[in-house]
Amino acid sequence: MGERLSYFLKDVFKSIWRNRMMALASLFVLVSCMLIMGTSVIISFNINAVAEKIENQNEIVIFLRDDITQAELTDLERSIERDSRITKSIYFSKEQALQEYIEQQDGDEYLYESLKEDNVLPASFRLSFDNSDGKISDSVSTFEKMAGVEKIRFNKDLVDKVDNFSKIINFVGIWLIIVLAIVSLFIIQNTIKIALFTRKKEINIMKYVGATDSFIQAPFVLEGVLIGIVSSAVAFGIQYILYQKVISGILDSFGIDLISAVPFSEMQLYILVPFALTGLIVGGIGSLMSIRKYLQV
Amino acid sequence: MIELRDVHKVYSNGTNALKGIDINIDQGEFLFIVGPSGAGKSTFTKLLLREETPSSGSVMVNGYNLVKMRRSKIPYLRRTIGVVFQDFRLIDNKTIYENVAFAMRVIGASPKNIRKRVPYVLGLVGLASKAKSFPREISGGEQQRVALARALVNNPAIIIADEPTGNVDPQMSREIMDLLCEINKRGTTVLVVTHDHDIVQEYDKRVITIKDGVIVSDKEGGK
Ligand SMILES: Nc1ncnc2c1ncn2[C@@H]1O[C@H](COP(=O)(O)OP(=O)(O)OP(=O)(O)O)[C@@H](O)[C@H]1O
Ligand SMILES: [Mg+2]
Repeated sequence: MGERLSYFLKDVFKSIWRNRMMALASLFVLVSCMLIMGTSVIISFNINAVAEKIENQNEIVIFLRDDITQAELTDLERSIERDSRITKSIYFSKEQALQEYIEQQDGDEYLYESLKEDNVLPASFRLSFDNSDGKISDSVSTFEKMAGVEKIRFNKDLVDKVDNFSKIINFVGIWLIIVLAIVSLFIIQNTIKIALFTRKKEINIMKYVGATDSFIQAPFVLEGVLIGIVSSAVAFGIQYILYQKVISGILDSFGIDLISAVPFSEMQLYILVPFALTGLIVGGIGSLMSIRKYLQV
Repeated sequence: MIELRDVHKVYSNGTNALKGIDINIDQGEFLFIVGPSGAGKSTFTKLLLREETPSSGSVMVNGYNLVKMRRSKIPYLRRTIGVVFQDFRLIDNKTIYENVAFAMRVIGASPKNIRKRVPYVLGLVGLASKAKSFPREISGGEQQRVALARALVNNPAIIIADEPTGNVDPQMSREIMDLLCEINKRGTTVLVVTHDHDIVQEYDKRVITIKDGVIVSDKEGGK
């Protein structure tokens, strides 16, 4: 068995070597396709992470009118208490708001003096919502209608935008993967076709002396699968370096905590598995598809 | 061992290549198949190898019913038949030894058997000394003998040779024919398709003449 296996493997490597330019070209195309796939996975992961972070900040701020009456204020306080989804509520007076503002700015004292004289910052309620229940827009619209409320600030718009964006990214990503898998299939098929062509005579002789179809197919399928597997390994390595050096750098340069990049280790399975599957399936099916014709002798 | 009953073959383009062929060939026979170009001789050999299927009629070869046969069984039928082609069909980048060994290897023969059998068969066709040469380094007649060795190496019950002497001079032709007779004496059925009347005259064997897809004569002795 050992001797037969070594003949078989030698044949496969010889064939790849003989056909090395084409094998290299298909490796190149496959790796490129995989990198595009991987990048779309990475983008989608990062967008989703951002969306999740924003959604988890289930906070709204109700700014109060300066002329709010005590009755209106009590009314509002009661409504807040009644809303079971609100886990925390802090009242910020105009003075506290100013204090906070000054602390955040740490700079020109002179400017603050004039602000202190005429405090334009509104008083507010800062509310935190239960994380498990994402829909806070109902509460927002209730509070919005109440007397004494100037305006409400909350992240819904941003959440919706990021949500839509990530939906688009996921959709585009999936189609990209499908299209690129088909492109890869075509490439592998052509590579194997050329490998087959250079060994047309051998295959013909094999058929006449009574080699079984699977015996004839095996080296070509292995050749396709090998190209696919090597491509996925190469693509994975490049993707890793690319992410560490480039993408995470770009994301980090935004500096904002919100957009800090998802670590590669969290995504590697979702990159490696599609790569390996693409390599295996595309390599195997591509070669089988191209060899079928040659077996009709 | 070969039995054709009322075999018709119409190709998909409408060509009617065989029109009612009845043949019986016994184990150990030696026969020539002759006839003008386009008569249907190659079509007949293709039917035996199950390269083509008959449009109607029945074909039995070495116990296989070629009409009812499943595709997956074809390799096993072909292992009982050795084919020699007019154009030799040797693999250029393999040595003579490797060319012959290849035929054994691809049907899963053990390396031990290959090492025993290949030198024996090369000796049989008189090419033991050329084992390490490549096809381009030997003469046409020698190449034809390599093709013959390859056809023989798996010990088939039947040897089919389509124009085995078409590409070699009369001297070589005789050598190859002598070899085929020698192989036939050891019990292998030999079927030679040829245009070469001199050869048919010289070797006193059964001769089947096909014309326009019909057998016009079937007689013992070429003279
Ligand atoms: N694959 C095919 N498709 C269609 N027609 C074919 C095919 N193969 C052979 N034919 C036709 O069938 C007829 C018989 O061909 P065949 O090859 O059997 O002749 P032959 O006796 O071997 O001739 P030759 O002596 O020239 O080799 C011819 O008319 C040929 O053109
Ligand atoms: Mg012919």
